[in-house]
Amino acid sequence: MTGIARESGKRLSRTERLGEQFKKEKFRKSYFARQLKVFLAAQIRALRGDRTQTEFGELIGKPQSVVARLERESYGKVNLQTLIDIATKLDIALIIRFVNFSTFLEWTKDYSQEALAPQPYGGVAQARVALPSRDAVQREHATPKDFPSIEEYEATPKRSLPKLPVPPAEQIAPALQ
Amino acid sequence: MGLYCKNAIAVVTFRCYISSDGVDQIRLWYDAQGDVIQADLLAVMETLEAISRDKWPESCFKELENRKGSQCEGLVELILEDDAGVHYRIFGFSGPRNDDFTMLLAIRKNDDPTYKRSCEEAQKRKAEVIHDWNRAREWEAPQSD
Repeated sequence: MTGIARESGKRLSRTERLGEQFKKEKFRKSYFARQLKVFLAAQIRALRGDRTQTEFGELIGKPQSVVARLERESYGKVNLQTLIDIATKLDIALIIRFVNFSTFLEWTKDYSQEALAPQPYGGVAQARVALPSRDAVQREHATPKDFPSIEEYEATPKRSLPKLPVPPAEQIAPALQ
Repeated sequence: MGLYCKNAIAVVTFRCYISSDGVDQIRLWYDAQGDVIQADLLAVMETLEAISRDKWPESCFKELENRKGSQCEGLVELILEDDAGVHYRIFGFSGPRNDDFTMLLAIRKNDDPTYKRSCEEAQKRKAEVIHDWNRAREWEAPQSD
């Protein structure tokens, strides 16, 4: 490890640090796969809290063996419908979608307790926005190159669409028929 | 917490065993690994350091018990696997401070001839760390290659 950043003592954000390492294909593919599995297993464990696997299984309508498998992320064969069923029982949501690696880094940076074990719908959870605003992302993690500041954005001349002559209505109407 | 920022306060601090000659044996091992294992370990550590030790999910780790002819009690192993199915283990223990997890010894499980004696070696290193806390240095996430 001989990075200039480390030698100069500069603190890199997780996004900057992993973004650099993601240039290596094997690294990014391995990281995303393991992070996905470990975090899911950690979420199941956090949602279970102090309950036994059997008690949690009763809560989500699954046998204890299913809870044990979900917490054992190396099992790796998670059924999508099972996850939907759990989310439904706990009254929380679930996001599964393909994204690019930049988005992956942005969406996986939150390891807070709230991210691990989200609150059910209602109360605080209902009032809060799940994803950080563009402004918050910019302030905390993004580089100026990625996201201009609000001031820079406001100062940037906005492109406007060229004003084209509007054809008479009688010319448009036939085309719509 | 490692040398980086993220949206959580680390509740577990990962530390690395420092041998008597001052070498960080875990970082030495880490730097010698390929991209897959390096990524695997970082992904595991990033998640586990945000979770209190008693809430770690199974299969990222295993509590070791005394095996026949070994001395594994009080040790934990982190479980890593590369894309070819080769297993690696990092032996460690909870300590020396509260909320520390110290990585003591890393091995390639499948064909490392020292694997059977790994608990013995890990216990020796654990004793050194408990005797001198400076022999466990906080893990710092790699900044770049």
